[in-house]
Amino acid sequence: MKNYRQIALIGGGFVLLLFTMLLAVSYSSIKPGQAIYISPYAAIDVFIKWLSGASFNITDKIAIFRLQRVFAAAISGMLLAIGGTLYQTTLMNPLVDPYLLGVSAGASLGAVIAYRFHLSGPVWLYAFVFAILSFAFSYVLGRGNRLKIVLSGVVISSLVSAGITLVLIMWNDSLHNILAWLMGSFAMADGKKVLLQSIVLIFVFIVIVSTHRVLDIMLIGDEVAHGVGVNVFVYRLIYLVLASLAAAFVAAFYGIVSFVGLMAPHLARLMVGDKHLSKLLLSMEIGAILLVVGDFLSRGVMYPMEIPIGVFTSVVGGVFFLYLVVRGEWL
Amino acid sequence: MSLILKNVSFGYKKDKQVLHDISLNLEGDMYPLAIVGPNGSGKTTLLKTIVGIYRPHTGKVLIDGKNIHRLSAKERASLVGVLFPDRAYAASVPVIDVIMAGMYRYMKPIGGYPRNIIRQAYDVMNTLGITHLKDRLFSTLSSGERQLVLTAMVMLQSPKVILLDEPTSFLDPYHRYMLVDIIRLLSEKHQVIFTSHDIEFVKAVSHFAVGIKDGKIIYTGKTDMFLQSAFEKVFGIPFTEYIGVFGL
Repeated sequence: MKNYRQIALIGGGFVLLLFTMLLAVSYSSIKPGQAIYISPYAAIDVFIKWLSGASFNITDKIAIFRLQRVFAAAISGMLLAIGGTLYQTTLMNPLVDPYLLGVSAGASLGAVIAYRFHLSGPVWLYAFVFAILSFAFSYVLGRGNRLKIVLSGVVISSLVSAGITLVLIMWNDSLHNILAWLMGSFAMADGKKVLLQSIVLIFVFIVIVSTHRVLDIMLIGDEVAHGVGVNVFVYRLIYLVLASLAAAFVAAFYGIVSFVGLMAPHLARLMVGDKHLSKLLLSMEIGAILLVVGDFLSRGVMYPMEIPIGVFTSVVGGVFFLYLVVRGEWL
Repeated sequence: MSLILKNVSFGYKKDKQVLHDISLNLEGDMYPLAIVGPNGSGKTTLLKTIVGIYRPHTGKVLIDGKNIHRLSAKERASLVGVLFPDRAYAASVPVIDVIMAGMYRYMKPIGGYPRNIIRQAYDVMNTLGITHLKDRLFSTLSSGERQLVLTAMVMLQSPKVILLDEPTSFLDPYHRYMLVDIIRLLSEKHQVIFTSHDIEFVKAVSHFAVGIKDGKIIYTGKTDMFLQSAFEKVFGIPFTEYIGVFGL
């Protein structure tokens, strides 16, 4: 039976994710001796202490700092993978993800504006509104053609990135800070952000898992879905809003993290096919592993300097995108 | 079963109408029914209006007295369904899941199907002789197998009216031949309507024909009569001249 293979892959992915997370908490740098080593046992111990609210010593506090960061990377990877899968299925376009549609950039601009102009209300709300707006622009400008929507998304993305840079320069931000927004960074992770992201992740996850068969049917085609009684318009709207919400909750806190939403669903699809229940679960794990490993490398390879996570994801993701274009299966 | 179109008008842009005030009254003995017309005459638009993909600007579509544009998507699916094999994406989804999509309107909230419906799916697969395909991925099937799987899907859905859009357009002779059987099978329990400009196919399969040109109905009646009296009006060539070249 095929099901066992899928369960094994998803289970294996989960174990691998936990393993990479533990490793990333244990070593802050891949150059040994330059940072405090926290054994996996200690990391788990601190996590339990953190959950139960016990008091901490100084090593615990470092461990907590790293835990937050690792969780931020993992949850962001999951959110981006969900966003990518939903965009790809509802737009019937394997070349899109929150980054290529300009949604991530839009959400970052919303967040930057909210931070810099000290607007009232939660930052993520501005990010969400701007995410929806930039999606709407890409969608309307690029309607009718798979490449056109990617092109308009990339153009929207670069326009919005210019906006982000402008706002930050006007307010005398450091170059490092500007880079962190444009290329993404998990250095700003904290407990509150992790909690907010988890709530969104759980909400989005429940909605899509309870309707995963609708996604399967929509993938076969609009007309077929319509014919069997799926309210295509309403479901497409719901999924597009959820995808933008997921992307906004990454970009609002950690800036533009590129290509993860593109790679994770494709890799998952290669392993378990298009059935959305398995594809979504596996792509979430892959997205999380990509970002945990990416964040680990971005902290370590040029220690003590940090490079933005986007440097890592753009190199890997850009090559992956070119591979998809050259192979041309999607045409 | 009756399918009634009352003064249906539709256009993709407000100022440019594709369907002009179409009225049709289709009774139970008229099926299989072919909607025949040249390219760009509005036959596909008409079909998509009947299934509710497009909402007419004026007028209404009634199946058994129910306005299908006022029904919920699930209620509509019990009255009218589609079989558009060439427009289905070859997703890597197990065949059984594609077939079960026909029963979407009975799906439980969390995504499962009632047991008796799963049994019905096996009956339908037996009828079509495709039980051996059930665990294969839809993406790995040949185009003929895909056509059978989608046929099974719409048979399981069991709407009163089944619509096919240009069903022969990309088919080689073998699959075109197979489609005749599929339409005859579907016609045992359902009312089949298809659009086509494939005259040989229309003649072989349909009982009645509706001739459409420039968004207006110019003929409704038996297919044989259509060929003799309305063919020239619809396609602009005398029928005798056409069969003189292509035979029939």
